[in-house]
Amino acid sequence: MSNTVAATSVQETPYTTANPGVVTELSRIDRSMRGAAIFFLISSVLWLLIGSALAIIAALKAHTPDFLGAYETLTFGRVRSAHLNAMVFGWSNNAIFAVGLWMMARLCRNEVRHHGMLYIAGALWNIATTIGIAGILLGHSTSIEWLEMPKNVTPVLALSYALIGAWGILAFRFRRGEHVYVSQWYILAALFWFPWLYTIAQMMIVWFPARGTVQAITNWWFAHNVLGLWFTPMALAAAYYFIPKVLGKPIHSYYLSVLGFWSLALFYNWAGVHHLIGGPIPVWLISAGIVASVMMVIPVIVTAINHHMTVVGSFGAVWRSPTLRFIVFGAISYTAVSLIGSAMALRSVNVVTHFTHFTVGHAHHGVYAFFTMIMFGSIYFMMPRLLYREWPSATLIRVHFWCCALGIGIMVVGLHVGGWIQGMMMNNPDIAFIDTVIATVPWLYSRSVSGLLLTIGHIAFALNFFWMIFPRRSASAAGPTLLDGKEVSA
Amino acid sequence: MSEDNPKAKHQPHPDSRESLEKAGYQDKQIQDVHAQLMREKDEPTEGFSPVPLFTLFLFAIIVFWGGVYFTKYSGDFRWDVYDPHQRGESAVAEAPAFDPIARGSRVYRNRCAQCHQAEGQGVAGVYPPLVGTEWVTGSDERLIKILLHGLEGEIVVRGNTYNGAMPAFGPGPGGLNIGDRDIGAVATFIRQAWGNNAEAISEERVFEVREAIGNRGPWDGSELLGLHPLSK
Amino acid sequence: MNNLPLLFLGIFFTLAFSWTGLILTSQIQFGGLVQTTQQLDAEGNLMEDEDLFPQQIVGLAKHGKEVYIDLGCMYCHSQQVRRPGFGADTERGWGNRQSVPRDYILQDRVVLGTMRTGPDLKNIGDRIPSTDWHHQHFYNPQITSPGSVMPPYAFLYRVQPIGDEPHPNAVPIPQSSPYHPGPGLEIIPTRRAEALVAYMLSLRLNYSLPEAPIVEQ
Repeated sequence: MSNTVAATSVQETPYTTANPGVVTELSRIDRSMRGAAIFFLISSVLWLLIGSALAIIAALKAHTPDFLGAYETLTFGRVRSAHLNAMVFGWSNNAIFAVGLWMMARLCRNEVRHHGMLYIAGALWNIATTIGIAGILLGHSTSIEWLEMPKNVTPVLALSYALIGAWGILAFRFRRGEHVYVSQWYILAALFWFPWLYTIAQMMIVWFPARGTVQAITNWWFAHNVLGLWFTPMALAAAYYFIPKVLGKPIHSYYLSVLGFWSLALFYNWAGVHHLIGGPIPVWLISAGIVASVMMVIPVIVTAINHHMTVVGSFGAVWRSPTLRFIVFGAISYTAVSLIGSAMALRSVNVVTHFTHFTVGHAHHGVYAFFTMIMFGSIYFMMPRLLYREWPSATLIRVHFWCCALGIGIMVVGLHVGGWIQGMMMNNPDIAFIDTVIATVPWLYSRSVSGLLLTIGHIAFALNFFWMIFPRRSASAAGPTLLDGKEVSA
Repeated sequence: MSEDNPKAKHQPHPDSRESLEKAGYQDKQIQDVHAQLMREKDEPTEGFSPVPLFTLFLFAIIVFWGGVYFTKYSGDFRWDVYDPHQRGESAVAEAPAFDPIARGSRVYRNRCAQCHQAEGQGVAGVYPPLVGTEWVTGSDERLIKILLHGLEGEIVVRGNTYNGAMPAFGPGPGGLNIGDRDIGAVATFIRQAWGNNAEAISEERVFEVREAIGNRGPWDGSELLGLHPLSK
Repeated sequence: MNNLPLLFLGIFFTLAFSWTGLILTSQIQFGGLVQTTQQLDAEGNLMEDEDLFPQQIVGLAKHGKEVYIDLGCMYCHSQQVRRPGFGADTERGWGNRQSVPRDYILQDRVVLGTMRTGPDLKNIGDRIPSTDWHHQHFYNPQITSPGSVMPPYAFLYRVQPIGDEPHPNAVPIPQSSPYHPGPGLEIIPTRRAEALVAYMLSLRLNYSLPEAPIVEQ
């Protein structure tokens, strides 16, 4: 009997926005998330600005060491970590909380209840992040990559995360509708993976340190999986949600979605060891990491085909819609960065790129060109639904897009080229080390230029964002804010 | 069969929020407020296109490669194997012919250039230059002694006074334990680089000087000049 | 995918699998390594009356490591040596052999680093043993390494007027240097600077281990 119900409700009376009941339901779900989502988004945009300022300081210091050289608080080793933590725990996680929970609520077709708890948890999260970053700047950094925040704020982070993650899982528990969509698999998995990763890493490195280089393995298992099992699934969930949503087409293939999800879950887990190639750990661990990294080609190709085949024929709409322009940029970057990453794991390539700016460029390629761009796109879709208003300025969206696209492009190319040169020189013992340093300086300048561009983009985004939240004149429904004025949903 | 639709099963009470919203849905004003929702397309669904065959073929190849690679470079899963090519006895590589200048240049770059700088120019007032000074190109015994045991106290090099502490690179206590051959090579290198032009110093000569003195602490500048005065 | 138990189990087991495979196995396989002598006797036992390696850093050097950690030095400097033939680490004098897990067992916090904006430091105490050099370099890296992008750590030093006679610990920087603070002034390392230099000098990879002998070239 229940099968019949499922079949009819999905196929004969489709869950479609042509049905007024469905629109009403979505409206109610959006409203139930409204306050919490806006709260997380405001936090994330503020952190984005703070993180950008820290990034600029770090980038300038990297080629002009005397810049602000007298201030211990702003020494490179600290300001760089503060930048990373502001972006990871401030910007990215707040954006994930907003976008991920909102998508989850919509896909589960159920309102978010007791969202007051989300404010408390979110406030705790942001207070702990603030204290943590201040701690790094004041000299309490742990110098463990991606876990720099001083030990005492981590339980607060874990607790507030537990509350927020629980809300996502509860939404899933009380879902309506029979079908579980691919985005839900990714969000559910990520909500579960992240706290496990974080807790184990804290326990085994900070609170009860394991002996010797087991710490290093734990560190890279964690740090790589934050990208692979937290940012990536959330961004892929968003791409899987928004591409078919905006285009009004189904995703190309359910089978590819399944293959992509499980191969990612299986292989990404093991890939982190490639950060220790040549390092003081047994060779079998390194080989396992290399194989897993190369295996990542499978989910990447699968996802690329799935997204591409969905988008194909609708490139005009992709270009017009702010949401899709950012998200498709991110999806293409995902393919590129992952394939480059698989290549970098090979010993013959890694011997050059390891320990150089190539890796730094690669990290930004992944976290920015892929993850952050997709988050921008998601926010462009969410905000009008949450506020019943349109984005005030298409020009600012265009400025945002072009500054970010150009900026990250310059950074990735600059650091890849500079890093490759650095690596080749470093592996030639007849070249004095200082010459490898001097050779990278022009490329580090290119990073500063890209950092300025990105910051301009972020400021444009923030202006538009706060203008939308606090409109000076009443924003009427003048139609969606599109990038060339033709009619398509934003 | 819309009767089977769970949403349609229960008719909302005429005064419930749901039914009010449904009524309001027709209202122009509400439609304007909800313009963003009204234009929304359907929630995403999935198509069921088959997986392209070539991808399955590609994946089979990658998985096969992974298996072969992992087996080949697993180091037998031992904790103490750090070289992926280590299999049984490693072939002993034929030592390349020893070139004192090439070797000396490398030792210099790794060990000496931080202070005496890449071109042997030193840092005025802190680290004496090695170019154009008799300390380097003069008595070979004096140079070997400095390298082996270190040097302290005031010395004058090319008109400037220096008062640093050159570490001992020989094998004695506190020394950095560089072999006679490398000491000879680096001494030869600095005596012949950057326009310096003095005869080479052999490994045997270093050995000879070292054996004659044995272990000792760093030389004092004046003490050493007493034994081996500068020619001027 | 509507088979939810399978979904949950899959999510759980993929992470459990990698944690077991990478971390738990490592912990079991080499998480319990202890100190050893440089060589073992014929039966594979420790040699008697010989020093055990690696050695624990103590005192000022230990404090120096805290300074190293709080300043974030490891974001530009690695402390790991790759094997000969894989990169040029040993040829650059960064160590006479590859560094191996046992080299790190006595460290509360392992700062391997993944970046070489600056050179590897695993063997810096052996490579540059001069205290003066390190103080000059920390005060302003341009003094010893022109063109470096390392930031100056002058905030670890105190500039003060020279008293009746020069302070015994004053950092030797010639009056003629553009980095000298001025006539009549001298540069005194703070305790943190002394500690950091002590830590630098304690970083040495000049001993063999049974699994990683130093091969004379």
